[in-house]
Amino acid sequence: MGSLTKGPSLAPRACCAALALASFLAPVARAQEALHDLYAQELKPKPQEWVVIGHHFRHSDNCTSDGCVVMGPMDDREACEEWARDYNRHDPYDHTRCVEAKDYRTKAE
Amino acid sequence: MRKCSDKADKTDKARREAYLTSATRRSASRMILAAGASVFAPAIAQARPRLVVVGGGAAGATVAKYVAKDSPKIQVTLVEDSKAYTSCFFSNLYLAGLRTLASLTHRYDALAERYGVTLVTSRASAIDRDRKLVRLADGSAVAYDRLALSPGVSFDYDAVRGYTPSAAEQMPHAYQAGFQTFLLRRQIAAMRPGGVFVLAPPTSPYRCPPGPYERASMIAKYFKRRNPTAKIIILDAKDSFAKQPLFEEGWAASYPGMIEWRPASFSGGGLKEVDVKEMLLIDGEGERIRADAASVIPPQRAGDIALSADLTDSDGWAVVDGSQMRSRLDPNIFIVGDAARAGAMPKSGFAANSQARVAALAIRADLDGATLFPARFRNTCWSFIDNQNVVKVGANYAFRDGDIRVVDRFVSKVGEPPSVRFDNTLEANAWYGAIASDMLG
Ligand SMILES: Cc1cc2nc3c(=O)[nH]c(=O)nc-3n(C[C@H](O)[C@H](O)[C@H](O)COP(=O)(O)OP(=O)(O)OC[C@H]3O[C@@H](n4cnc5c(N)ncnc54)[C@H](O)[C@@H]3O)c2cc1C
Repeated sequence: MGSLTKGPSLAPRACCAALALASFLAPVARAQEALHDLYAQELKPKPQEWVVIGHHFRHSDNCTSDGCVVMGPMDDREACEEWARDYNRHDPYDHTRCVEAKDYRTKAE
Repeated sequence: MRKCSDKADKTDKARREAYLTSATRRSASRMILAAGASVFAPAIAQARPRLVVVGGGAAGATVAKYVAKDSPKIQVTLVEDSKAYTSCFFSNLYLAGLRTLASLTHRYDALAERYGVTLVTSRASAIDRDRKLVRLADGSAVAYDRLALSPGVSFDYDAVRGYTPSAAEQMPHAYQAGFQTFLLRRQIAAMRPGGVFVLAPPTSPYRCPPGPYERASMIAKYFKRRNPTAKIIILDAKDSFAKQPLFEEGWAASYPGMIEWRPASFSGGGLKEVDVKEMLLIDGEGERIRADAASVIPPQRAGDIALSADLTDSDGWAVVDGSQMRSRLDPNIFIVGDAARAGAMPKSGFAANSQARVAALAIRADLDGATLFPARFRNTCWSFIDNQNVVKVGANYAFRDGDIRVVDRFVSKVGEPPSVRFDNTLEANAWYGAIASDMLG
């Protein structure tokens, strides 16, 4: 019976193919997993974040005596400082500035 | 729009119950008059009438909240695939580093804790319209008297050769926010100095008409700071786009020479094929563009569940009676948000939230005897072009002559003073906080 004689020789081949596929897929799966871990981190507030505060939005929940959040939170400090500078060029009396976000959590969070 | 909740806001329970009983009867006769041929009775047999909402986005979360808040008699169940909602709106700001993804991600807890909505974290796999059941991915089912369907959009993966769901990880559409948006930002950040980024917007209709051009602006904003010699090519499937003169004005002022827009007539109808291994994008003229990073936004249609439930037209959008956002094909189902063909309204979060309030009132009229008012809708879409430059377009809408039509509209003007654009920035930021708390707060 052909199938019986073929059996033993096919089995290791199928097994090797499966192993080869597994060893090819393993790094892909690990890379995917690592990416998803990074994504999960991205969904959490970062230890250091920045917000632009000013004197607009006095009615907002995101205020302290220093001011209220007008933009952010951001993880890019340079972007935050640039935003505050741009704002001040238009409205120097607002004393808009970039500060650490920890005291200003947005109402939506 | 008029506030939906005037009657139901009363706290006196006894008065409320008395009102509900008589109002349900009134509502039944009103429905018969309003619905003409498609007459049906409100479900009053079981202890509490049941609303099931599928999809907890700008539309679905708002429907769930407003029905549960204003009609505690109605048992509201929200079936949502994800534990948290990451908004597409403002996701372009994340690409520029101006918002964190965490700040765009919101949990559903308040809907359960404050309003008693039952949360079911699962994918709805099918709708059995005859039995009025929503079937879930695990094989179980949830029964409804009324169903609000708000699954957003799905993508036509046949439109661009080679662009598959796995190709979307190499060239993210980032048109469903979350992992896709995260991938896009990583790819932009990893681009070589002076690299080429290609953005391929789809044919209309699609969610957030100015979204791709705001995306080009925010990526340019990022490049200006971190990769100033990089280039952006917009390979468009259209010959014009929303707020075009405003974007072009802003690009010339803020990112001169960085953004090149190629209309469909210039490229044989835009993108036709991709090879993600080679990072090649091929247009209708056969021109091959090698990209260092790309975002391909495929043509869209209603979320799969609306298609599989046979609630859509031949173009794949759900057909609704815009006076209530009720399906024209099934009077027990309301379809709200991007999945619906909503007359003159664009597909936006603001629009979805506005439609949701209309649907919530109609659902409350069916199940709890609330008084119906004529439907009014609003929309405003702000687009960030630069820190100092936010433009807007918006309109008020009403249901007239069988469809949702524009009552009046406004749009930013080319050459406006910077102070006006700056005020728009503040308005947009205030809107984000307001809609997030209106949906989920
Ligand atoms: C880049 C970008 C920028 C944008 N900017 C703005 C803006 O500035 N302003 C604005 O107003 N709009 C904006 N929009 C548009 C806005 O995001 C959408 O119009 C809005 O999200 C539509 O709401 P929705 O509820 O219909 O869909 P979604 O918000 O997408 O919600 C659909 C929900 O349904 C769930 N779902 C789908 N299928 C199932 C199922 N079978 N079972 C269970 N759950 C399911 C999904 O998980 C999702 O949570 C933008 C969009 C993009 C892409």
